[in-house]
Amino acid sequence: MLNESELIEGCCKGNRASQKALYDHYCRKMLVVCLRYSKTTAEAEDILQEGFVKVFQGIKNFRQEAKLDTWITRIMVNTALNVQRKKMYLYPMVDVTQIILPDQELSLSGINFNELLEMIQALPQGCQIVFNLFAIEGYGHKEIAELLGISEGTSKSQFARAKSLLQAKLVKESKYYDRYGESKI
Amino acid sequence: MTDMESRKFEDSCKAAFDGAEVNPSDGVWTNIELDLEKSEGSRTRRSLLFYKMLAAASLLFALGVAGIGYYSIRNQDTPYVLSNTDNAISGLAGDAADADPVGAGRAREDLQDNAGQRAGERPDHGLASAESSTGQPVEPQKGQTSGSNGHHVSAFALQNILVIPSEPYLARSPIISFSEASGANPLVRKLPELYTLKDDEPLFDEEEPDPGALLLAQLAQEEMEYAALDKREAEDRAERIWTSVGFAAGGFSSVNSSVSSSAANSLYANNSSTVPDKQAKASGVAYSFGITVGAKLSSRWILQGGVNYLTQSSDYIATNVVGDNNFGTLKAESINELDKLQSADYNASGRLAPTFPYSVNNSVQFFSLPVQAGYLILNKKFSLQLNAGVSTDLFLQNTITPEGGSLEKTTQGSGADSPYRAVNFSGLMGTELSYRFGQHYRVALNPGLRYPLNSVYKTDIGIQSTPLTFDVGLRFRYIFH
Repeated sequence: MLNESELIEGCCKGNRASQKALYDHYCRKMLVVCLRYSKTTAEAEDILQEGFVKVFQGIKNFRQEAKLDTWITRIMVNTALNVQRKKMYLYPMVDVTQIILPDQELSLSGINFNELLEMIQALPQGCQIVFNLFAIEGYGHKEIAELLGISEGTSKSQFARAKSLLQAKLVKESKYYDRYGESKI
Repeated sequence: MTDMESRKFEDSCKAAFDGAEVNPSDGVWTNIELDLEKSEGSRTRRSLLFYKMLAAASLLFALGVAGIGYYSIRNQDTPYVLSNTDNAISGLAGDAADADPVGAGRAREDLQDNAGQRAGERPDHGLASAESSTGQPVEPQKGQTSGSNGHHVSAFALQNILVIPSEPYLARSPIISFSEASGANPLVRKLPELYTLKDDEPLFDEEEPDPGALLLAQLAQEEMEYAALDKREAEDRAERIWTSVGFAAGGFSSVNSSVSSSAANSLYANNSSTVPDKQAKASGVAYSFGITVGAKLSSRWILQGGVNYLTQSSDYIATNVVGDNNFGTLKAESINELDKLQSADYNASGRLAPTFPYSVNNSVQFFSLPVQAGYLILNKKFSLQLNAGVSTDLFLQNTITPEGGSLEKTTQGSGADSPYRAVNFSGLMGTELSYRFGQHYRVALNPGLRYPLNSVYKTDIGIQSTPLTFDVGLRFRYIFH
C-alpha cells in the first residue's frame, strides 16, 4: 500500500496505477461532494470524472501545503460550480424577499445523510449551490458572491430560502415521524 | 434566533456529511482513463508540433543568416552607387527634421560636422542615405562639394558608422547610417569589417550598368536559348513523317497451286502438256524495290504506304515448243502460248511439237501499292514494329525466257491476251527492326510475307495460283522535321 506522498509522486509521473490508487482512495468521498451540487447521480459522476481528470493533470502543482483531500475537494467543488454556472446563466439567481423561518431551530443530529442529500438535491438550483458553499464548505457570503458573480445580498437571501425550505421539510418529516412513533430529529 | 443558534444548523448539516461515501459506477474510472489518454495524446502532439515549429524556425533562421551573409558578400563584390555626402546628409537630416525638429536639428549638426571633416580628409566617401540603404542608387546632384564630387562607394562598402541619435529622434527613427564620424561621439560605433571596402577605390563608373542586372539578363537570354534548343531537340527526336527507299529479296512458293481438271482436259491435257501445272506450281525468287511514306498516327501507331516494283521469277521445264501455222517461228511452251492457242481455236495439238526438255524462266512484274498499319513495340534508337496491311498489285507483264538461243523470248503485257489478272490484292504482314543513326536517318530491316488474296491467273484459265512470298527488305528512312 502506497502512502500519500508516493501516490502523489506516482501521479506526477503519470503512473496509471498510482492514479487508480488515488482514485480508489478518494472517489467515494468525492462523489458525495459532487452529489451535493447536482440533481442526479449521473450528473454527479460526470462532475467526478471531470474533476479527477483535472486532479491528475494538475497534481504537479499540488504543493502539499494543504491536505490532499481538501485540495481534491476544492477541485471538485470548482468543477461542479463550473457546470452549474452554465445553468445559472440560464436561470440567474435573484433576491428572495419574503422568507419565513421557523421559530425554533431544528437539529439534524441523527439524520441519515442520504435523506439530507435528497433534500439538498431537491432544492432549487441557486439555493442548492449557495447552501452547499455556505453551510458545508464554509465560504462566506462575500466569497460566494464573488465565486458566483452575484451580489452578497442575493447569496444571503438564497441561503435563507434554502434553509427555510430544508427546515420546512424537516418539520414535515418530524411530524411524520411523530405520527408513526419514530423521531429522527 | 441568535447567530450561535443559526450556526448549529449548518454545523449539523456539515456533520451529517462527515465520513459519508457513495460508490461511483465502474464506468467513471474508464472514462477518466480515456480522457487522460486523450489529453496525453494531444499533449504529445502539441510537443511534436512545438518541436516541428522549433525546427522550422531554426531552419528559417539559418536560411536568413545564410541569406544575409550571402547578400553581404555579394555587396562587397558589387557595391551600389551612392550620392555625395552633402546631399545625403541634407536629405537625412531633412527626414529627421520632419520627424522631430528638435532632435533632428542636433542630428543634422552632428552629421554635417562629421561630413565636413570627411570632405577634407577622405573626399571619396559618401553618406549612405536612407534611399541607398534600401539598395536604390542615388543620383548625384548639382552643387556637390568638391571633395565628394564624382566618387561612388557602396552603402555597405563605406566605413559605415551607426549613430544612435538623441532620444527624441530615437523614439521615431531608431538608427541613422552615415559616413564615418568622429570617434569622440559616444553614440558612434563601427559596423563589422564585413561591410567595409578599401579607401580610394571607386569600384565602377556610374555609367557602368549594374553587373547583377547584366548577369540576370545574360542568364535569361541563356535560358531562352536553352529552351529553344530543347524545343529543337524535341522536334528532332520526333518522327512524325518520313519516307524510305529500299529493296527486298526473297522467295515465293506456289506449291498449293492447282489446275482444274476441266481446264486441263479442254485446254491442256488434250495437248499432253504438263506446263500449266509446272508453271503454276513453280517456286522462285522475288525482288522488289520502292518508295514508302510513313506517318505516325499516335505514339505507337503508324500508317505507311508507297509504291513498289515487284518481280517474281520462276523456272519450269518444258517438253514442247509452240510453233505458228507453218512452224516458222518457235516459242517456248507456256500458259500464255497455250492460252492463245485455245483462244484462237487453232488445232492446238498440231501447233505443239515435242522436243527435248528445256528450262523456261517466267518473270512476272507487278506494280504494287502497299498500305500498312504499324504498331511500334519499341520506339527508341532501336525500334521494332509490327506491320500488317494490303497491297494492290497491278500486273505489268510477264516474260517467258527459254534457255538457249533457239527459241524466242516473249513478253505479254496486261490485257485480254494475258492469262494474269490485271489487278490483284495481297495481304501483307511483317516486322521492321530499325536503327536511327542520325537526326534524319534510320535504317530498317523488314522481313515480311505477301500472300495473294486471290489467284494471280484469270478465272477462266482454270488455274489457281497464290504464291506465298517471303522476303527481307532493307530500307533507308529519311525523317522529316
